[in-house]
Order: sequence, then structure tokens, then C-alpha cells
Amino acid sequence: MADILIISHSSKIAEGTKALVGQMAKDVTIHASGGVDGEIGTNIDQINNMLGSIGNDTICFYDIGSSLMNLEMAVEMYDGPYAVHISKAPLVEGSFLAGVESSVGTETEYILEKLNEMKK
Amino acid sequence: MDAEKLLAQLHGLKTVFDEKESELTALDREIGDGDHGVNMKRGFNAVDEKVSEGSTKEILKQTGMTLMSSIGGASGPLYGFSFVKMSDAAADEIDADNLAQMLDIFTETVAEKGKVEGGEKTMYDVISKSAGVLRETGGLKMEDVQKLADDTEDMIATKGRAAYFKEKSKGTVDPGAQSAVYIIHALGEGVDNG
Repeated sequence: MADILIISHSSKIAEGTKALVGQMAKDVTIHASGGVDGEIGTNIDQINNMLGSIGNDTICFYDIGSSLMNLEMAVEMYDGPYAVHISKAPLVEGSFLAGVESSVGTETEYILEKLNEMKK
Repeated sequence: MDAEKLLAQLHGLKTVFDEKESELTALDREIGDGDHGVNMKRGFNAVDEKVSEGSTKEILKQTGMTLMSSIGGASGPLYGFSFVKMSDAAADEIDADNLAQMLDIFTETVAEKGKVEGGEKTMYDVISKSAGVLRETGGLKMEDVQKLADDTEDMIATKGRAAYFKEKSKGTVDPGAQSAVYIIHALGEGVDNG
């Protein structure tokens, strides 16, 4: 079962999306973080921290602007044991689909294929 | 440039960005959100505080990690990640050839992670041409590097927040190009002085 990772510029988007996905995918571990120091923004440290606590292969979702850049850098520097994938699917719809599919045991590869069909 | 000299050059950037804060802020107010001066100042103050020893590779890597976590927006992570990447190539004694190789990596990293190319009025316009300046002139004189930033004045921004200013971005030197001048000059100065 894949973990889900959500990085947003806004803490409310991160928390809200986590709650939304979590309701449908109770057994899936969702790592979510948004905003920096109470302001709008993303920071590589918060992604590194989340990646440090993943316990499975993980599919990552991001929102706008520099969140993708920070996510790409963090994933490139990740040297843990799990495969970390970045999905270009829309944050809410993508993480929802991935969470539900992961919770019913769909293979990560197949989830990624489905996500590829979604456009931002 | 050995590890000690490299560290001195990077610590010296704290003073540079303390002094240049208002200049960078003024440029960024014209075509951005006005936080580039304070961001660069915060970043290199953190480097001065937190990076204190190690090999050239370790110093560059720590500098990169520090910049990535202490500067917001796109420029901090881009500078930071570039330092991390450059650390792989750094020799114990960085000479002009080695620095040119590092600048090639700097260029590739900013292009790939910033998804930027030349002529888009960004830090890339300075970084991507600096290795050429070094190879042609044997050094990185302030006036030669500054010229690269000055060339961004007439460009129209298509990347980052400055892109929202479109035609209005013309007539202002890109703040990221200007901060890149100081960073590259500091590295070049370290090589010049052996």
C-alpha cells in the first residue's frame, strides 16, 4: 500500500486535502504539509521531514509554483529505501484517487498510470 | 582556493548581501514582490552562522542545505541545490578549471530545476555565461560579470513572478541576475587569490 504525500503553499489546503482523502482511505498513511511559518509558501525542509517518515513507496502531490521545484529537489536528495514518485495530477483529485486506489490494494504502478491520465 | 579560503569567501557574502540588501529590494520591488534583498541577506547570514568547517565539498554542501532551508521563494532553493550539486565536483584545491566545471553544474542545475533558458531575464543569464567568461579571461572580474546582469535590463521576463509584469519588466536589471553576480564574483575572487 503506497503512502500519499501532499505539499501545498497553504496549510489549510494540505490539512483539508488530507482530511478529504483520509476519510475515504483510512488505512493509507497520508503525509501533508503546507505553508511556511504560518505564511503561504513551501520549503524543502518540510518535504525532507515528510520523506524521512515514509514507511512505504510514496506518491507525492504538489500545488503551484515553486512547490514542484522543492519537491523535485527533495526527492532527488532522498536516499531512503522506498521508491518516491511525483504525480503531476491535480492535488485534490489526484491524491483522492491515489488514496482510494491504494487503500483497496491497487499496485502503485497502476495507480501512477491512472494518475497520468489526469491533467492539471 | 582551499577549504579555508572557500569558507572565507562564502562568509564574506554575508557582508556583501548586508550591504546590497536595499539595492536588491529596490530591483525586486520593480519587477517582483520585493523580498529578494531580505531573502539573500537572511540566507548568507545563516551560512555565516552555521557553516564553519569541513572540506571544500562539505562546505559547499552545507552552504547549499543552509540556503535551501533559509530562503523562501524560488531563488533560495535554486542557489542552495546548485551548491549541493557543485559540491560533488569540487576538488580540495579549487583552481580556475575546477571552478569552471562547477559553474557548468550550476548552469545545468538552474536550467533543469528552474526550467529556464537564456534570455528570460533570470539568474540563469548570469550563471550560464560565467563559465565562458572564466575560461576566456582566466578570471571573473566584477565588471565582466556585472555586464552579464546589465544585459538582463532590456530583456522581457517570461519566468517567475516577474513574468506578470511582461513589457513593464523591461528597464530593470533582474534581481536574481544581480545576486548571482555577487555569488559568482566571490567564488572567482577566491580562485584569483590562490
